[in-house]
Amino acid sequence: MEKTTSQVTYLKEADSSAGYAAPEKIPGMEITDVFAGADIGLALFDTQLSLLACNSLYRTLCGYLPKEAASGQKLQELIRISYSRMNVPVDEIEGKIERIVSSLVPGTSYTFRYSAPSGSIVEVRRRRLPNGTVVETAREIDTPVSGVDLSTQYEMIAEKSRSRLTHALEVMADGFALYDASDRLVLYNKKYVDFSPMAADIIMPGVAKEELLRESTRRGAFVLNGRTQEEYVAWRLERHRNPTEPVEVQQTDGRWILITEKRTDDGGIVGTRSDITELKLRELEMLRISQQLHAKNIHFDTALSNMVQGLCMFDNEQRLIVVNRRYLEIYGFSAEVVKPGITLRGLMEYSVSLGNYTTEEAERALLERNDPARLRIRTTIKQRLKDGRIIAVMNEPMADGGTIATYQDITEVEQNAETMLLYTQKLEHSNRELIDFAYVASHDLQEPLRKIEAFGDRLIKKYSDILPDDGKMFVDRMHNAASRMRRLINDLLSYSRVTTNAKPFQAVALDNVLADVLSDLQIRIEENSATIDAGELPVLEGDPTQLRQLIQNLVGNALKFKKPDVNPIVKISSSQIWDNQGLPQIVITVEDNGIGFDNQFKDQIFTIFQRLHSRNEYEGTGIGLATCRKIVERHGGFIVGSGEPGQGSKFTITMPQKQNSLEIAS
Amino acid sequence: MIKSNFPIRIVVADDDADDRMMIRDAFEESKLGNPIDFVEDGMELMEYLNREGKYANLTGQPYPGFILLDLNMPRKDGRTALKEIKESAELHRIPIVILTTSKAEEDIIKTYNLGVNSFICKPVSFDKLVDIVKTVGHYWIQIVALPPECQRMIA
Repeated sequence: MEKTTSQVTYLKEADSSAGYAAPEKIPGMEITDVFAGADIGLALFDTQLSLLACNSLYRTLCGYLPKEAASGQKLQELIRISYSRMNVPVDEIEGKIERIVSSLVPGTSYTFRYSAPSGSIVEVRRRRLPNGTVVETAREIDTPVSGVDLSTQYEMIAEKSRSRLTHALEVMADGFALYDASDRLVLYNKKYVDFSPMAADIIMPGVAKEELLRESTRRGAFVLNGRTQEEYVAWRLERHRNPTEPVEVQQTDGRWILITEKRTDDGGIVGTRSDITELKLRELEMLRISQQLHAKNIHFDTALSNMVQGLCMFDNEQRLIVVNRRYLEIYGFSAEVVKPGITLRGLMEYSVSLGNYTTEEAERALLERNDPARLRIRTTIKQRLKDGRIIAVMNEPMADGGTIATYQDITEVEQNAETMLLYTQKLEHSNRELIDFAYVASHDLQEPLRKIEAFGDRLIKKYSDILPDDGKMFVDRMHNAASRMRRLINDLLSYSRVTTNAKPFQAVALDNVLADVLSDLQIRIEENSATIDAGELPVLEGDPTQLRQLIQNLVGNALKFKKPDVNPIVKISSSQIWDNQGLPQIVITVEDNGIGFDNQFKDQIFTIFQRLHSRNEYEGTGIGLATCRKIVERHGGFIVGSGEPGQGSKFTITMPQKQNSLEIAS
Repeated sequence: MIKSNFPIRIVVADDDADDRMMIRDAFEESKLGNPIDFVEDGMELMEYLNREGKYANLTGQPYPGFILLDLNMPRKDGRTALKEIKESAELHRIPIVILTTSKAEEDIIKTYNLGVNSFICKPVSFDKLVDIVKTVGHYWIQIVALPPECQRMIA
């Protein structure tokens, strides 16, 4: 059945209404006589489309039974009969009839052909006269006829080119449609129908474009993109009736159709439609990607403008490509002036005009920046602005010959550094004063002291026979005080020498140091019948003189603070541990069985001039342990003491085995 | 032992009046009996040795048998004076004994490098000072043979 309908091609022809005057009455002649004598099929319908009359040839050619093509029969009914015989589905027939009838306005005509059951082609011409009546003529057209006249021949040639055109329309890949001046469908091909599967049943000659659109839209053929059906139809009609640019239409079947329409000379509209689905999907994908890129760009911009550092990027011709907000803020630049495209030179000139720095400074900076040696390496310069701010500018070369520069306001950091420098200088100054003091203490303070002792000496020597006993006692006390002061000065000196007289660190064998110390203390050890129990000691990096003083003070203390009736035993041992960075630490313990001390004083004993005993009980200046602590701390270690009254004391030193090589002897 | 027409003199250079008094007393106590001249700084010492200024009248007399030299003195300290003496063609043979309060190792090394004969720290007690003066005086006056310019008139 599809075969049948597809064989029917409608061609609309312009009709000159002037050529169709109303039939004139010829006296004494009935219209039926005229019909019977005609050599073509002829049928006449009134304005209500009721059959007035037809001849038998008409019935034969159109395949109607006499009772079907009888007077009073409706044109619609005859079309229905034809469609039924062509096996057009029943549910499509009514619509087709309706559209045929509605397009059959006065002054129009159609010619259509179909294959008659006999195998010949029958051409039917249906025309509605301006007065509303309808005339149909029917004739066989391709029955070879001999002796045809010239005009018939021409008609046949025209007919052949017409059928070629028809064929060409059918095989073309695009959909094709032609609308007449009253916007009714005149001619279309199969592809056109293929593009509108949801409206296949209503596509037929004579159908109004508006109705076609409205119905397809109602059936949901198109993606409306938020528009109402009414708005959509109005838009499509507008574009259809005033065709300019091609229109892209998205269908609900997933296809995108490109409709290209054009006005014809006679006021009709010719249009082609092609499937651009693939193109459109690619285009949409591109759009999606570009939107993504745009979103990324926004992220990038947000990151840039929220950076703490100023940033800008120059191309290989030193033109600004990228700049962020912070950069503008630092230099007080206007975004109107400093924008991509401005040259580095232009930018600096602008900066000079704002008073950030002088022309000379700008020229110097440009020169430095253009130094070929610097172009390929990262450089950092400090820029001091007129208002006192200090900006660290870091230039990083890029592979393409451009540079990326970051700018950071380091004013505060620099000020802190300056303050630090000031403190350091003050510290160095006070250190120098301390060294001076050490010198003064060692020499000038000892001078008068020596005199006091010497003259006291002389007084006793020369005048002891005439000096009364209490006079001698006064001189004696004066003497004691002087020698005590001497010890104080000497101890104080050795305490201050831990820093002022420090020597660079070197590898020190503690075994040797201990041996030296014990040999120095030999007399005291023997006098006290002391036992020294020394384990093996390691080698560590330190100041040999100070380490010796450290061991000497600790062993000396162990001998000094002995119990009156107990021979002292001094244990010296060592071990190795690792700190939390995995560096080896030496632990040295000096333990005795002496008088010990209350643990509440374990911190106090390391404070200078702190003593736990009166001078009558134990001699001393209270500087020994303070010196010990100072020595250990200079070596990056720590010392702790613990004791129990009557049970002895224990001092534990922990020092790194290797010293930081950066340690400088001051 | 070479007998001379002049008793051998001793020069003490010390800026401290107390010390000068103490040294004088110590020499008296030591019963050495040689004449002692005191100068108060390196400048005066050089004038004395070069027979200049108020010491011009000593021209031609023998140089002292030895010099007791303090290191820390105003105007010209002992170190500078020592260097000048040792660099002088006329004076460099005069024995020099450093007597100072300095115990600095640096001073000891430096002065020996410059050619001092002894380095002695000033003792705390007077008794020890007497011992030192006795020993030093005895050694340089009675035991050693001094260079001729310290004993005879200089032409």
